[in-house]
Amino acid sequence: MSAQHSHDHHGAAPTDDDDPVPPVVHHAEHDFTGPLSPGVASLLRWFGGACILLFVFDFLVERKTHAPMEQLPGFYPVYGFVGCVLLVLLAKELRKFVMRDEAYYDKRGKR
Amino acid sequence: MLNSLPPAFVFMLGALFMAIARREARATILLLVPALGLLHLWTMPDGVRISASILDLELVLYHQDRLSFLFGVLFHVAAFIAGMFSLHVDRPGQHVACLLYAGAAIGAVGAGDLITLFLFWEVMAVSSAYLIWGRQTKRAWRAGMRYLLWQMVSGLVLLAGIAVHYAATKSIAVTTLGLDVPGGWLIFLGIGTKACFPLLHTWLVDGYPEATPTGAVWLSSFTTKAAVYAMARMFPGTEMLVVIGAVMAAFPIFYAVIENDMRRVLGYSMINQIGFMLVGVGIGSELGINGAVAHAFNDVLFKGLLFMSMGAVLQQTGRIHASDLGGLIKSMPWTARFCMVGAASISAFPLFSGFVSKSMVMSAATDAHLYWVWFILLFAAAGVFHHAGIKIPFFAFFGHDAKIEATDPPRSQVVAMATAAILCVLIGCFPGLLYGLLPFDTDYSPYDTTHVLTQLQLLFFSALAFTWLQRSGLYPPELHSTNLDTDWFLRRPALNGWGRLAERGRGWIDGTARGARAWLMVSDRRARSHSGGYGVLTRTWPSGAMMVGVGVLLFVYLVLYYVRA
Repeated sequence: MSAQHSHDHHGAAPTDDDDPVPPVVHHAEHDFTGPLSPGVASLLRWFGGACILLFVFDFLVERKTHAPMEQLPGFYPVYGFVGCVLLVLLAKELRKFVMRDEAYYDKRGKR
Repeated sequence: MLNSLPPAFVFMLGALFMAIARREARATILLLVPALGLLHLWTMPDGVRISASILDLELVLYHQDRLSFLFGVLFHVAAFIAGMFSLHVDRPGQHVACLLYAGAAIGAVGAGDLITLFLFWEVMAVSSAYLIWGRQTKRAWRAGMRYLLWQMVSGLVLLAGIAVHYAATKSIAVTTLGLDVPGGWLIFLGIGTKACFPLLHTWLVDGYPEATPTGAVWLSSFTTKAAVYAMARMFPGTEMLVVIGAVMAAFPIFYAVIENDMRRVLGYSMINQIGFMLVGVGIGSELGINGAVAHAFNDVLFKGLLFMSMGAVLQQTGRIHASDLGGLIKSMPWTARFCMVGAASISAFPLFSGFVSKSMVMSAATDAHLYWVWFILLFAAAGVFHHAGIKIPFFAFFGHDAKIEATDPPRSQVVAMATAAILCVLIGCFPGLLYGLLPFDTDYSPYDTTHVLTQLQLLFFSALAFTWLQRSGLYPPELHSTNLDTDWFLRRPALNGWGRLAERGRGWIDGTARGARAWLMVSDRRARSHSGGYGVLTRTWPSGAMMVGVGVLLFVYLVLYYVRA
């Protein structure tokens, strides 16, 4: 992309080379699907335990409700989880429509 | 005597002193102005009005009631914290712009008439643009221009609204207007642009992330909150605001999830928070207005704190993209801690400030039986935790260790972050401190079993979703990219149109320039040949010739005088 990029500059096109950003040495690959370190694994176990506990509390504590949906058992945990999963998956779809390369607004022509 | 000095003028005077001060005095001025200003504000008698008259119009430069007082206090506190954060910056011009900006914001929320409001708003627009230009890059220059253009256009719409309103009603008072008064719609749109109404919001996510690390902290505090104030003052109970607010709370979080630039993520999350406030204003009940105002107060503190921590990251590492960061907890431990306090506050964790104000808006929605609004706000609340509460600290300070060499920022900046963090926790633990300042008396209590439990459930399961998505690899990777927003409709044609024009005009411009240069050289040579001791242009004239010239001139003048008579 960078080779084509330099062709597209018509002198007036702004570049970022006056930005004092040092070159990125480690371009981090944010992949967290691999094995966990023992510390993180135990943290996640505690976190999972807390989630289960909070879910169980829903049936032990008498909740004061206002909205009709609120009365469903486990409404808040389920809504929090499903809402966020949907949020991320839909945002991922949104990328197909709105994502362009970083110098998009620095270049002319239909793209 | 002091009681007739509007609080905004303390900052204007401070800006003047800053402009001429020696380097040693600048830090003192930057901290002293908000401190003295707050003292001045606090000692003013209740219900004071300071007015001046210009051209038959009575301008109310400052009037005090509980609403304007609360925002006045808030802006002084914000200016103090941001000033502390900017203390180490050795650029007096930037400091002057900051003080003018904060002062104008204080003036705008104290203005008792629309003209004064407009004038202060224009000062805010211009002075704040310098905080973006202060980055001194071509990119920031252009972003600042676009930002200023938006501010100016919205200012003109506001001015048009004021003119229509004045022509029809002969009133310029800042009071409850509603959409039905003459000019109401224009005023609504003018202020709405500053409050980031959907489709009119791009100036914020375009401009703020391009500002200097310290400038963004100032920017995040004033313009949008002054707009929320103006909405609460002039358009309380406007039903349309409920719809607009709900949209604003929901749509930016999708962008925030896929955005890589951390400060742009904060920009989107800011629109989301303003959405909550506008819903509160739109509901218009005492609880709704109280909630909106309380949330504006808290938002300035925790959003300022988050902008400070990300500003510190940018300043210390030179990077701000999630994909380039990670593992900074080891090298910037204090920044990380304060960032997490800000993240907990914006996510409305119990014992943190967001919890005690966001819930007021939610309760106001259920009290008004607006369950669909409540449903959307709940989704937005979970989403905020997802992108602002987890994503920002996780990718900056934890996650993959990018092995960046950095340190915590200078001590003054750490103190500024600590101050904001302490206030966040203090308000979260003792909400009475904030509730006492609210425009309506309230006996609202956020800490009951149901509320604490349900909020914790929502947040923990939102975090669980994040964990699961990361572990399963479904979470979209952070990528360097531009995400198109509605400003595409303006920027793309502008870019293409200007480019084509430049291309077509290039031949003509080059030819003309060459011709002009040749003509200049020839005339220069000719002029030289006529200079010197006997040259036409530089020879000495006898003084008698001058007398003749003056005589002729007077004669012509005389003749013309008679002809005219």
